[in-house]
Amino acid sequence: MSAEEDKTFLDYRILGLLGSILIIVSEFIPWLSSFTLINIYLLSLGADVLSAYLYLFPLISGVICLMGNLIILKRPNFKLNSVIINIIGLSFLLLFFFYFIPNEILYLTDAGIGFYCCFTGFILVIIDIMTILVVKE
Amino acid sequence: MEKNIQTIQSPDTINQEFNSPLLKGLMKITPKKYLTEELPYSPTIFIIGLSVLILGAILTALNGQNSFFLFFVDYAEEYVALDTMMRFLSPIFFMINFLSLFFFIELFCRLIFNKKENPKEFLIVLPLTLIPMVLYLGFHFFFIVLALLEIMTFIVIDRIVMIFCQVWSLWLLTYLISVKKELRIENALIISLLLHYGSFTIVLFYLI
Repeated sequence: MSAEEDKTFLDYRILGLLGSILIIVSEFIPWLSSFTLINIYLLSLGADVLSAYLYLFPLISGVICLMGNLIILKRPNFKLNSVIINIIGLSFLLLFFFYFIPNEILYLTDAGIGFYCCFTGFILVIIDIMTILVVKE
Repeated sequence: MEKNIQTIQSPDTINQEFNSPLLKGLMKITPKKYLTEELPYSPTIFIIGLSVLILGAILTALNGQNSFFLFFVDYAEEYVALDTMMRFLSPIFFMINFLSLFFFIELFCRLIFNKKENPKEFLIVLPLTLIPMVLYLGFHFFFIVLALLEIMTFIVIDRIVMIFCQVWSLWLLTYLISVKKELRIENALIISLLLHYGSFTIVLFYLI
């Protein structure tokens, strides 16, 4: 592999890394008015402990995707492992979106910067997965 | 030799990767014997495949869910007549969903990778990839019967089981596409992921 190709591939991997970091960061910035997901989680803890855990799913998802992306940074041969770990991570996020978007966000204008940040991270991780699969080496 | 360099290099890389704990675990829960079997198929495959489809169709009706590829969406009808009609229609939707799954995979394989191999064999074995989702439907039905889904704890458990079964089903689908369509596992994953995330987008818009 030439140095230029190596550099291009490294860029793709950084895309996934950036995506997972965005998903993690979104947990700590406002999703609804001034409430962050961590705020909602702490508020919900008083009412129902386990329903509150749903608000941690983006954080869990981000951490799992980050692990998947770190694996491919460290061992470029482990493409399938990285992709499967990313899929598991994104599944948590999909589940959260299924619950959160229809119930809490009636109009897109209601969503805070956290939502957009998380969604951007989600798209970046998907692009990263596809690129990992398409790139030959 | 130069043209086949990828084929020559890939087995080492694949072997190295398939020795990882994650893929070893996934391979353990993959019914390789049935997925890699070639024509003429043993009656067991037909019986298992048909049972999976019938069971899946019945369970979607009992659970009050509609299927969309690997996703299941609850329909909460307030009117009894509509609910009865949906319960009657959801098994039909399940079958249509299965046929659409086959149709779209065939379409993607032909359009993206120009692969037309074994459509009949693929259709016969395809129901086996739905085994994890049927297991999830059974699990969900068990929770409904015991009225456990009114408790948030069990809703979260139900969702986590769904994630596990979806990933398992997605892996079986990828493996089957790779075997029957003679594609590299990476390319098979591209097709399954296109379907999975495409259907996610559609279901999300439907829910909104």
